[in-house]
Amino acid sequence: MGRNETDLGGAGREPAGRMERANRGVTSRNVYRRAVAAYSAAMLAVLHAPLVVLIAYSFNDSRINAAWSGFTWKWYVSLFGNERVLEALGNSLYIAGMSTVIAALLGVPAAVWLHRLRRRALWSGLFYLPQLMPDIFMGLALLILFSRLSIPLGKWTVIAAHVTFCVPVVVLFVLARLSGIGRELEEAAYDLGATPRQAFFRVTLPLLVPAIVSAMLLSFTMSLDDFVITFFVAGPESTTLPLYIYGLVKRGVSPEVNALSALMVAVTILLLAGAELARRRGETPSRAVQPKRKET
Amino acid sequence: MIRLESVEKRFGDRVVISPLSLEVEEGEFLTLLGPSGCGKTTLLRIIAGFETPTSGEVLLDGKPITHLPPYRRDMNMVFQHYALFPHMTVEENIRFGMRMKKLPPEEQNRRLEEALAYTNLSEYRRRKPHELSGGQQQRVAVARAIVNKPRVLLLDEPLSALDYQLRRKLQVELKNLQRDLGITFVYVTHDQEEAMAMSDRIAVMNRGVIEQVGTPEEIYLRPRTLFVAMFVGENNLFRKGGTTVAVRPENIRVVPESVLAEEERARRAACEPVAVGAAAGASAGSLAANGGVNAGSVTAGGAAVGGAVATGANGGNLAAGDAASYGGEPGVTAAAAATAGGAFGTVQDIVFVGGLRKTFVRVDADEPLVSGVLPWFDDSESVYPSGRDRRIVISCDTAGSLPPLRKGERVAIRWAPEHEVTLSC
Amino acid sequence: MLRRGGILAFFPLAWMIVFFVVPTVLVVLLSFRKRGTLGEILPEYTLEHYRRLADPLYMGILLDSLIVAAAVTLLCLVLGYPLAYHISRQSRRRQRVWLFLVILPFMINFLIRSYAWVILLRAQGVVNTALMKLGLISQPLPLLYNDGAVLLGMVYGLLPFMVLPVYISLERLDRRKLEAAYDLGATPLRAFRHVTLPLTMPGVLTGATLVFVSSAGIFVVPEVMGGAQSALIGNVIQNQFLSARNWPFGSAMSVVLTLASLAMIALMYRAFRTAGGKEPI
Repeated sequence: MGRNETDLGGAGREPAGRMERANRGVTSRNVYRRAVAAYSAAMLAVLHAPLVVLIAYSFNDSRINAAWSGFTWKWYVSLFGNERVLEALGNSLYIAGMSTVIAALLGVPAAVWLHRLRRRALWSGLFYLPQLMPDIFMGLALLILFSRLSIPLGKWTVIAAHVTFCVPVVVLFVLARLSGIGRELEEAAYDLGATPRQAFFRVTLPLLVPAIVSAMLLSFTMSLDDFVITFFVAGPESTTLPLYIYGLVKRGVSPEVNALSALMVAVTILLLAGAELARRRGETPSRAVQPKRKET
Repeated sequence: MIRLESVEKRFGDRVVISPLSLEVEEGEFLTLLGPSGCGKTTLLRIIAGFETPTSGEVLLDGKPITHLPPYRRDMNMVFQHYALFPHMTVEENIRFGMRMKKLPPEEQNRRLEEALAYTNLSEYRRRKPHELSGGQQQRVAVARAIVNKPRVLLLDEPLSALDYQLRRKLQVELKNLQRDLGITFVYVTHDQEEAMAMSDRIAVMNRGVIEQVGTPEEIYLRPRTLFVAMFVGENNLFRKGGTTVAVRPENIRVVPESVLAEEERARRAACEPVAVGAAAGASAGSLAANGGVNAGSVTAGGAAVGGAVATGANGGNLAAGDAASYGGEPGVTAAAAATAGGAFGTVQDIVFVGGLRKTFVRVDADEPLVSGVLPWFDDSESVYPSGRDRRIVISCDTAGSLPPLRKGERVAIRWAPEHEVTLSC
Repeated sequence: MLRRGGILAFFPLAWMIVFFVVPTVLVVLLSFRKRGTLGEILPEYTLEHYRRLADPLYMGILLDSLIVAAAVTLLCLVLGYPLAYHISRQSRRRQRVWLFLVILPFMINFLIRSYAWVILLRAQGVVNTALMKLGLISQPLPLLYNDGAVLLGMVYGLLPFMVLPVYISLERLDRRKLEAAYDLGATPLRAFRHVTLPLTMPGVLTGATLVFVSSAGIFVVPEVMGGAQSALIGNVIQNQFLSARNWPFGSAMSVVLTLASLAMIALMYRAFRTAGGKEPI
């Protein structure tokens, strides 16, 4: 890092030391970057490996998993004939759909209200607390509630439970987006003659839609996926898919479970892809245009 | 047209605006000028209706609107960061206000086309804000506001996010717009050049108080308070008989030692033959008759301060030639000669900027000044608010003017009495 | 406080009170009730369940569960942070793809995913079969039905809970602060420790909280992947409600679990706050 004395006042080269240091930093940064990239790729592979295996083996013509005896569709076929599976699937979808919608209807107004509060810490705690409690606690707490009120367990008890853990998600997403939007837009709307109500529906709400959609998506998935809470509050007629699979898994590994799981995976992928596409289309088609900031 | 009466704004214990009153005339371009935190934006927001004053009234045409919400005031605002609705196109943004007012479609279209044409945005009407440049966004913000034909347009530092060239261009455009439409503009900025360029009147604010209201000329030539004198343009401060006076750099003459010597010789030469009322030799503080004046002569301290020797009113003499040689007009020189202001010093620095030459002169510590201008380099008080060295005097003239000066040169500085502006602190 | 748009808050608040506050109170109340011999709830109050919990047996299980949860959280952090970092450095479009790929397995049912690991790791599972076929081992490795497997299952299941919040935090990070650090001579490691890490603490805390809470009461993974000997507190509680029909005792246990879990989270916040947190740069 020495200074190159003879160069001062000459061709205007920077002191060698600083350049070296910067370059060294860049090289080691690149090394780190590559390491992280490789790691991430490996991680991704590990994340997907089990599922790939699962799907692969759902086509395995053998009861004992590991040995591959040939390709077959028969496990899938038997699934479609299985009424209990179809019923569980229907329940899951219905419950997830209802829960998501109700959670959105409750969560959006709650977020708007919280956003307007000066001291919102206390009240927002009420909405976030459920996420901090272990699933198992929430599950049995609701079970006790329904038992005390003599409400029979069924689809709607499950929906009630699911809504309760989905509302915080909606509130979280929408509140975050509201804070991100900032006051200026709202004020601009007022300035242009919009009443608070008009401002909300014409300016704020359209901007909230992406957040609401994301929250609903996540809620839907959480509902579909939920096992523990559902376990406690579901009735005999309201088996969801996870509960059904649980029953099967307890009895041991079997290809039917593989096939069912593989199907669920496929359905989920389709759902997600569809939602992503819908979201993209709803977004602004930003055509190639002017440079972004300062110029002419 | 707009009147603020004893408007005060406090946030808890913090006083943001002390009770102040202000009148905005119809059709004028008034600027609220001041540094960050002076309360100018808060004041604007009070006028707009986004803040309610803690006490005081806001009146529009004599009618109180203090508690009227923004959507019921006949004013529109151009926000600092434009606040364009990101999910709407340019056209939809501009239409918004008209839709809220429920104007008939033909009227809406007509005004829309007008505004688009005026702001050169016609070809961008279907773009969304994030597809526009900063300057274009700013124009949309303006178009969106004026299309409602408000009586007052409020602008909150609308050009602060733009670069220098663009800002200059848009300043001109905004000024023209205001003139063409005849709308009253209330403009907020911290950039005093901007304020000076665009405004009919400027209200200079500092820490919640309006220090002075006046035309740009008044503000510049006759600042009333210390703050205004220092905030708008550059100024030199001197203490005089217990008060502070300010002299603009362009009114300070820097006279190099060589020229001083010349003058002294010329004065001596001139004094001998022309004896009419002229004091001979070095006499203290003497005046010559008939316009022949011996300026700033020796004080009790005995150090000779060079004076400009002017001729009699009939002009044309060595001294007058000398006067011309350093760029002073004879008349002024004579007047300057009659005056008070002057001191010796050393040139610290010379800077060329914007076609001007700025000379920074460091005045000698022990030099008393003449004619009642007491020494102002008393270490116990700091006259300049922002840590500028008290002994540095700034002089300004056009680049390339004579005499050429060098760093480290010994010089004299002087100014004329009519250029002193007395300030109240 | 309720004046502005108070009506907005009514339904959501009412819901949360009915379906969250009230049940919580009921659990606490129930934990103090006596249990009759046939499993019914008697109208008397007692502390016997809590006293029973103080027994080292149950305390041990609780402690184990908390330790496991903490371990899972730490593992998720260590494994997940680099991944989140990598994603945040990609171009906008690539980021979306990466996120999609990371979230995808997560969207698949937890149970199914644990089950998938069973297929991979069991004695006749894919891994063992492959290793044996390759001649690397002669006996199947006991990869399943032990603590390691439980950890693996939980980390695998909860990793996205950590990656997402950390990613969001990283994405918001102002690159210029990093550049300033490099310019001032910081090595990448130091820049990370003094700039990136503190500034992404909010994301880390959110992720850690989500992971910890999810792991604290879990019983699925131990049951599916841990076999009979992995009895975490979640399993015990579940047991009380199903087979043992001792609701009050189960309630008491879950109350203790929840309190312990909340306490851990509070501690975590305290620790991370002082370590990184709100230091202005």
